[in-house]
Amino acid sequence: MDPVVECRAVSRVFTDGAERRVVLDDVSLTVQAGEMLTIVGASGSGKSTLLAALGGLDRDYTGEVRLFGRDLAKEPDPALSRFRGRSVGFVFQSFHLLPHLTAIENVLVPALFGDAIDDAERHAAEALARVGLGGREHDRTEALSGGQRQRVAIARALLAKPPLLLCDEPTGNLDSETAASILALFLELHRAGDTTFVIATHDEHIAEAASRAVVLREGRLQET
Amino acid sequence: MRGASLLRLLGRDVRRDGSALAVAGFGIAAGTAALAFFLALGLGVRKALIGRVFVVDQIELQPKKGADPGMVGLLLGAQTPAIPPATVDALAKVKGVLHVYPKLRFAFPASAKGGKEALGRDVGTSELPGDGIDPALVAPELTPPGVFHDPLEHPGPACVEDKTCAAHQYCEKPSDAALGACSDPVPVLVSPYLVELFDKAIAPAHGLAPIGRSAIEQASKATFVMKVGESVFGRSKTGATRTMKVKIVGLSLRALDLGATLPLPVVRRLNREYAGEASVTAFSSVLVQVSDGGRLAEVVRVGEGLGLEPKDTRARDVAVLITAITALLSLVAAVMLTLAGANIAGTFRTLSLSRRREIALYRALGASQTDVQTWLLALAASIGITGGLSGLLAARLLAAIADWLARTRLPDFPFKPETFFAFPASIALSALGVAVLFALLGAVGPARRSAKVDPARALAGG
Ligand SMILES: Nc1ncnc2c1ncn2[C@@H]1O[C@H](COP(=O)(O)OP(=O)(O)OP(=O)(O)O)[C@@H](O)[C@H]1O
Ligand SMILES: [Mg+2]
Repeated sequence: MDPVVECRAVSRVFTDGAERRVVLDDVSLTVQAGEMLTIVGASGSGKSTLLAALGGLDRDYTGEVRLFGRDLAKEPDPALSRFRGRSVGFVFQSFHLLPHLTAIENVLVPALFGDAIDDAERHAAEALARVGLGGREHDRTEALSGGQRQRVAIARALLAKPPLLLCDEPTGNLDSETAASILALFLELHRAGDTTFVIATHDEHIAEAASRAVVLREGRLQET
Repeated sequence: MRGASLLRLLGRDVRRDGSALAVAGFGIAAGTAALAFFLALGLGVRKALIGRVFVVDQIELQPKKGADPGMVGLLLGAQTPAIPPATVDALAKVKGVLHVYPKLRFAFPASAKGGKEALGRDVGTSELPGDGIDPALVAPELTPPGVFHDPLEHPGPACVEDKTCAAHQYCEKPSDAALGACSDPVPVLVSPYLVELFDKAIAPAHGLAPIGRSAIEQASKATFVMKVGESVFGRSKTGATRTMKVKIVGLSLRALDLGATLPLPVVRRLNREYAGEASVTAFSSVLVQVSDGGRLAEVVRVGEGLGLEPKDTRARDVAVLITAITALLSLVAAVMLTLAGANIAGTFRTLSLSRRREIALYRALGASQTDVQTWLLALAASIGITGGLSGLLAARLLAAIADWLARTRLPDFPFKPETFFAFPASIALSALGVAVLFALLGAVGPARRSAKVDPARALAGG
C-alpha cells in the first residue's frame, strides 16, 4: 500500500522582490496510514508552509509530494480540488468558520463542492455529536466559545470521513484545559479509526501523545 | 458545481449582502429600462409612421428630373417625359419586386368640390392633381374588390346633359362628342394620408366633422363634382371645360398622397381628350412594391439604368432618421449599462476582497477554481436577470405613463398613434440578454481573480 504522505526533497522558496527566502529546504518525509505525526518547530520555521504543500493548497514547491500515491504537482486543478475535498480534512489554528452560518451549516460546507455526500445532513449532525456539540447544531458560530468553535471546525474536517487530517496548530488559540479536551478528541478519533494525522504544533502534550514527532528547524527536517 | 449547492450559495449571498447586490442591480435595471424604453419607442414610432404615413415596401419612380416640365410646362404644352411599357416590364422582373403599378398622371387641369351629403358642407380644392392606376392591381385591398372600376364598362342611356340621367349619375360627354352616355360617378381612391390630414388639420379648422379612417364609407355616400379642363392655373389648350361626378370608394397607400387616383381607363380617355394620343400610353411614374424594404436599393439601381429616379424618398429618409435616433438613444442606454457593468465590477471587487478568506476556505474544502468562478458569475447573472426584469417592468410602466400623457395632454395631430411604443418579445429578450451580458462583463474580472486566490496565503493570515 502507498504511504499516505510521501515528500521527496521538497523545497519552497518565497521571493519578495530581490529577497529570496528558503522556507523549506530539501524536506523528505513519509507518513504511513494510521500514524499520528506531529511537526514541531519554532515560529517561522515553516510548519504551515509544509502543511500547505502536503494538502495541495500550495504547489509552488520543488521536489515531489505524493498523497496516497498521487503526485499533487501533476493533478489538474479540478481533480486536485475534488480529491482534496474528499481525502484531506483541514483544521486551522484560527478555525476559519463562516460567521454568517450556523454550526451545522459550517460543517456542511465541504458538501457544497464536488460529488454529493449521501445523507450529508445526518453525517454532519453525527460529526457534531462526536465532538460533543450534539444539540448545538443551529447555534450561530458567534455564540460558541473558542473551544466549541474548534470542535465545529473539527466536525467539518470529519464530514467527508477523509483518511488524512492536516491540523495546523489546532490548539494554538485555546487555553490549556480546552486544548487538552481537543487532544483527547484527536486521540479518540485516532484510536477509533484508521485516520492519519499530521499535526503542526507548539503544544508539547500533543507532541508527547503522538506516535511520532519531527522537528523543523530553519526549513530543515529532523526526526527526533 | 451542483445546482442545489449553487442555489444555496446564492441564497446566502442575498441574505448576507442583499443591499450591496441590490445597489449593483439597480444600475443594471436603470440601464435596461432605458434600453428597452428607447428600443420600444423607436419601434413604436416606426410602426406608427411606416405603413400608415410612409410606406417602406414601395417606391415611386419617375423619369429623371430636368426632363419634367411641371404643371406650368404642361399648360404651355410641353411634352411630359413618359415611361414606356417596356420599362414597366423590366422593373417587374427585378428580384424581390411583387408588383409594378404604372401611373398615368392627369395631363389636364382639374378641380373638385362637394361632399355636402357626408360632411355637412361642401369642401373642395381649386387644383386637383390626380393620376390613374390599373384597377386590377388595387382590387385585392378594396372591399368589395370590384368597387374601383371604369363606370363606362356599363354605360347608361345616351344623353346630352346630366338632367336626362338618373339622379346619382351624370352625363359623360367628351368635349368633341355630340352625344354622351349616362355614367355612375367615377370611383376615386385617396391616400390615408389625405384623410388623416383632413381629420386632424382641415376639419377642425373649418368646423367639420372628421371622416375617420374607418368611416370612409361615410364619405363614399358623398359625391364630388370634378371640373376637368380648367383650374386656377388655367385652361387646357384642347377640349372643353366640363364636369364629372366622382365618389371616394376607398383608401389606398397606392393612391396619390395629395390628390385623387382614378381608374386607369378613365384617365386615359381624359388625357386623350385634353392632351392628345401621346399622353395615353406614356406612364408618368411607376409604383414598385417589393417583398421587403431591403430590395429597394436594387430597384432604384435598375431604375436609374432605365432613366428613372425615386419620386419621393420621404419613407426611406424617415426610416433612416428613426433608426438613427433609436441608435443614438440606445447608445445612451449602452453607456448607462456600461456604467452599471463598471458598478458591478466595483461591487464584486469589494465583495471578493472581503471574502478572500472565505473563498480560500472553500478552495481548501474542495472547491475548484471553476467552482468559485461559476458561483460568482452565477451571482452576477442573477443580478443581471433580476435587474433586467425590473428594468423591463419599469420601461413598460414608463411607456404606459408616456402614452397616457400623450393621450390626455397632447393635442390631436395627423397620425397620432394610440401608443408610441411597441414591446415585442424580441425587445424584452434582447434587453434581458444585454442586462445579463453587462452584469457578467462586470463580474468576470473579479471572479477570475477570486478563483486565483492563493488559498495557503489567504488562510495563513490569521
Ligand atoms: N506567502 C509568503 N510570502 C513570503 N514569505 C512567506 C509566505 N508564507 C510564509 N512565509 C515565510 O515563511 C516562513 C515560514 O512561515 P510559516 O507560516 O510556514 O511558519 P510556521 O512554522 O507556521 O510559523 P508559526 O508557528 O508562527 O505558525 C516565515 O518566515 C514567513 O514569513
Ligand atoms: Mg504556522
